[in-house]
Amino acid sequence: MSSIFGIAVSGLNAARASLTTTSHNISGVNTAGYHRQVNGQASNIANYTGAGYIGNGVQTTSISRVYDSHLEKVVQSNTAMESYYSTQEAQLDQLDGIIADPTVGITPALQSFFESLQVLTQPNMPASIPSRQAVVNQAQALVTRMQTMDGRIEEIREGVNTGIRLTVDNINAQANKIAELNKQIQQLTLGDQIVPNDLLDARDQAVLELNKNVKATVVKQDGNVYNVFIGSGQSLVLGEISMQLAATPSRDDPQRYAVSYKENNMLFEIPSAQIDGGSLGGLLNFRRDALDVAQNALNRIAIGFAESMNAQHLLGVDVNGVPVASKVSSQQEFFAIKSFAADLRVPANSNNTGTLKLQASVINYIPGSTNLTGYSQMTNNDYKFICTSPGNFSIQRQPDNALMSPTDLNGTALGTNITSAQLAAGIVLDGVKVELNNPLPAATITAATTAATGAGVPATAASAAAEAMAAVLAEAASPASATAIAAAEKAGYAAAAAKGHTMTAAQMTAVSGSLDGSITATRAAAPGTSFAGDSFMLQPTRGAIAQMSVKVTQPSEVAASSNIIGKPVATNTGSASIASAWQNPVNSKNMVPMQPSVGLQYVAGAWTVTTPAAGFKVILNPEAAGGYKVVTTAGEDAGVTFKVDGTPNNNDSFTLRLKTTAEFGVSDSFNMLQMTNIQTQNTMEGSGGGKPNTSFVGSYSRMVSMVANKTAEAQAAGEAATASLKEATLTRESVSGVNLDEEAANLLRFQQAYQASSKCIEIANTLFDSILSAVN
Amino acid sequence: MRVSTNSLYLNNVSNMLGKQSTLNKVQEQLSTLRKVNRPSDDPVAASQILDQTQAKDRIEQFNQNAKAAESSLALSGTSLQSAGDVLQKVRQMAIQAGNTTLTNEDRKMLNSELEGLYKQLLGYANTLDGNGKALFGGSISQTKPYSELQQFGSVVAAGSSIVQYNGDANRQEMMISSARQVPVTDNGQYVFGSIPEGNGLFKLGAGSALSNVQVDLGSVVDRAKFDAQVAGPLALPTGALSQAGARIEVVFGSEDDGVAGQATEFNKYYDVVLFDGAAYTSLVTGKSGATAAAASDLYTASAEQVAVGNPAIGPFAKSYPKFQSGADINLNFSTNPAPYNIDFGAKFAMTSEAPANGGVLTLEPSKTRSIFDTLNDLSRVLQSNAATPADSTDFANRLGNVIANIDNTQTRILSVEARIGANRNEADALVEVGADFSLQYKAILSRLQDVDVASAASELSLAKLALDASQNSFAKVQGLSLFNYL
Repeated sequence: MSSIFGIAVSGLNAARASLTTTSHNISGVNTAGYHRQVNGQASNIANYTGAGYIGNGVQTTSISRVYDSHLEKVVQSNTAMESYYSTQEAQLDQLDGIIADPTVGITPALQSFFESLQVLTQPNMPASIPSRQAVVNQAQALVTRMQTMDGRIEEIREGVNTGIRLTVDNINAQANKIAELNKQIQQLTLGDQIVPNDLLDARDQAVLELNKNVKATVVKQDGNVYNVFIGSGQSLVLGEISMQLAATPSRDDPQRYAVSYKENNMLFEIPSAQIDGGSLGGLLNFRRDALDVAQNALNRIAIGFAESMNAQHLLGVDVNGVPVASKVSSQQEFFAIKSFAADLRVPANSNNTGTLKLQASVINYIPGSTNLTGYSQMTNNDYKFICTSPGNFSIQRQPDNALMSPTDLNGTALGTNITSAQLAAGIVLDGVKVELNNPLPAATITAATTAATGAGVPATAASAAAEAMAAVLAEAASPASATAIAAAEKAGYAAAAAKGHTMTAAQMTAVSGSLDGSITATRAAAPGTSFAGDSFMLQPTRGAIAQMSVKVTQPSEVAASSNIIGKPVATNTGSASIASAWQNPVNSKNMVPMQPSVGLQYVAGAWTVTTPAAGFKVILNPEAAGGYKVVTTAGEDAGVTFKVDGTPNNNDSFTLRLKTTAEFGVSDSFNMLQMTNIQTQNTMEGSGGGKPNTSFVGSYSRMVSMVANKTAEAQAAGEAATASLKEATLTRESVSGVNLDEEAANLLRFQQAYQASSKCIEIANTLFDSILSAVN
Repeated sequence: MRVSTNSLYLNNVSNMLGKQSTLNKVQEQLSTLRKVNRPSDDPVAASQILDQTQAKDRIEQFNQNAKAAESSLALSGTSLQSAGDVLQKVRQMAIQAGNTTLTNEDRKMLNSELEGLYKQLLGYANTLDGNGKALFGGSISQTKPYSELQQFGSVVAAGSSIVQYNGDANRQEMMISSARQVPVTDNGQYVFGSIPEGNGLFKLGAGSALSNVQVDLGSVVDRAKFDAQVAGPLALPTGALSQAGARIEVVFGSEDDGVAGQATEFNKYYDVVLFDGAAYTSLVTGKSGATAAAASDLYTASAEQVAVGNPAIGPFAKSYPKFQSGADINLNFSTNPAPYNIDFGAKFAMTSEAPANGGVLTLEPSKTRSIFDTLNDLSRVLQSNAATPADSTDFANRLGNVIANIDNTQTRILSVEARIGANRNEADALVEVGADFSLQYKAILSRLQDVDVASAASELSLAKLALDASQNSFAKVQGLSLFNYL
């Protein structure tokens, strides 16, 4: 009898336990990471009787999660993937939304600016002040537009920095949580069967949350402890200990946040390429492969645009008949682009132990090349200078870490190991000159000016010449080559002539000798120290737009007219005259010298250059403008085009020279025509020594296309990742998820079992009663 | 497969979200009527749109330029046509002046009419455009291109001019298509100023002691040879004809017929002497010297003593060629020994009863002369008397030169007008072509970025239907629960 009671009670208990678990399942239906639980129950040991074993009821043997570790892993890795792409997509969408927007994108502003230039070329419009005002306004609008876009990109970058900080905080929180749970689970686990199911759920959920932030791999240790690793095997949680990450300004570049690994109060930067998956991976990848590239490209286009406009504008004459080249150097630029701290572009790693500092600037023309401009050779990359041993550096292109071999200022390849002596002389890397940051002291120019006045040059002409020559020599190697000296002297003659003094050769030698000597001495003086492991991050385009401004603020300052004029020689017998002549910027080593003049002669039906006596020839101008072009004997553009009116007779001679203010005509717009042509000229994207192969808009549209492709790719990959995460989740749900109908059925089922066991007790009771009544 | 309660929600919600996103995208396309609303919608199209937009905007700008060019050219064309008309009147007047029946008074009346025409022509050369800028000043459009230095009809010293040109030789140019830069203005120096004199290559003039002769303008028969000699450098004796002061002198004289005691006969001979600025060399006989007389006997007015075929007259032992009135005098000495074997490739004819002994005709490469100076020359001609026969031949020669210069100017203006016309036509055509191009670019852009409304609309209703179905079915399914029956 008692056995019936006992069995019934065991059934009652088992059913109640099952009902409890079912209720727990029902209540956990909306708990994230909840796995449905099931009770295991088994029969008690049977009692032996002569007839055999008689059953002895049941007991609940286990309460376990319905759990498949493989399915969990699939969900975790898909979560990391989904979060990686959706973070990228969210960031890329911002970039994607602004770059081609008609109100923020730069191409409409670029077009409006060039249209305003075109208006100045219309008949008798070059002198029109309202039209010139429009040029100034459109230039301002263009710069504002570029700055707005660059500012938006900066905001996105700030957003990325904030995102990195928040994500790292989150990762630390999850790591702590996992470590804490590891500890509790270890304490509460008793053998294989008795495990804290809900804590296991919580820990799995924490791992899933962690995977949203960064891809993490779990290695199960001792059966029940999770060790978690991120990136390329950095341990995040080891048993009960969690490591901490930190988001701090990068040592390479304080403007960007990097993820570091904190150990013994030391920070070790984790290279961004080693962090994969999750929103952290997404943010870092977006910054590295899209944001940096887009911002560098935008700044590179701005540099190319400003440099090319400045170079042509310099060859013009303003509406008052003043040649731009004769103005003080601060007024020679149309767009200010260079006047920012050079070291901003090459920040030293804050861990550097050496004192060496570098500076960088865009070079005008590639040394050893023909007429390749520096900006045409620039790339969207940054470059890392790494000190391999004291005084020796290797240069790694970012982000692919390819080793670079730059050239010196004469165009000679230097190989992949760069010494600090070579840096002192200056090296050229993809259109950018990098050198030690020991700027030309003002004393050099003062000394040269004194040398010039000592040689009999009037004070104003002396300082102008010294300044102009120092600018050229500062770009050259030390001690300067004969070519560099010649180029500097050419600039010096022009600067002095603009101040009304014609320098003699002796005066010139005095100035160039003084300058070259003091520059060489300055450079030789202590270049600074460097030790293995020191590094510098060269970011050639950084900050260009932010610092850009329009220097031509008065309509009269727009130089629409050509700065040269052609005159027939008085003894000519033909009636030909030089209708127009203009210059375009070329490498100074190719440029035909305008001081004092260029002599041309028409001999036997062809044009020849008589002054200078050698080195140049005349060809038919292959461009739309027609006329004739002066080129070097090697066929390189020498920077002068002229058009002839009337018929020259054999041996008629002509001179081309700089225009005087009296010869200036307000309706001359030849310089402006050259400036308008820059819009569609191939000026950009020639990196690697190739000729530039696209215009500003072409270069910009490549950037747009890059961002668009990246966005579309992230969208597509994101959709795929979302779909596979959904599938993985559904699969896991199909195994571990709670189905309320199922639980409802279970409720009924266990209720019935409970009721049935109750009935057993009732029956046992009745039996007992009947025995009692029989006895009584 | 077992379905958990959460899967049901997860599945349906993600389905609905997906459909809403599709619907949203189609709806955005329809409301903006563009299928590329951000570059990622179609990366390839997005970058093409930027390139094509620039191309379209530039075409439209060139169209504006072409229109501006057209109107500027039209204005220049009109002024030049009027100037051409004035010149035509002047030419008629010059021809009329040559009429021998006119008296000095008649010519003076013509002269006062000429002054009016001169002022008109000056007015056209100084035309201003609507903005008050000079049309023919080259790039110096802010000042009047031509200002008068002297009273019309007064004597102008050699080497100076009656007017001053204040402009320059520049022409404003403009891009009217991506491949064409055309001039849109002209300069007075080319149109009115630098007009070649005479036949355009050389000019004949009476040197001294030569009157009562009529000289034609001469002509170049072999341009290459002429150019070679004009430009030199000649082996003989030093420089080229273009050298300062260098010229050819044709000297006339008579010769004894060899019969002693007889009076001098009017057999006229000539010699051709090259003066290089320092020395004289006869190209007929080969004699040379520091003075003219040393090079040729004919310079001596009384020369009558040179015998035909006299070997003593020069190294070539040649006799002087005989002058025939109206016959060509060829400046070809290619049969001479080197380096005297010069062929100037030119000839001229002279009409005269008997050129005076020692009379010299000079031949120099053409210089240029402005049309205003030519008109002043005409005025000076009209003011001169033609009393003696010598006067009247001089009159005729000068008039001939004036008419030649007027013709040269007319040719110049016609050629400028022709160029203006061609440029106008080109600009006109480019406006048309540009409009077509602009349409093409618009079509390309439309194809790249515009949405096909019909298909987008049907896509929209499809997306709507799909969303509707999802929502409906979800509402129905989510209501099913066993708990409803407990």
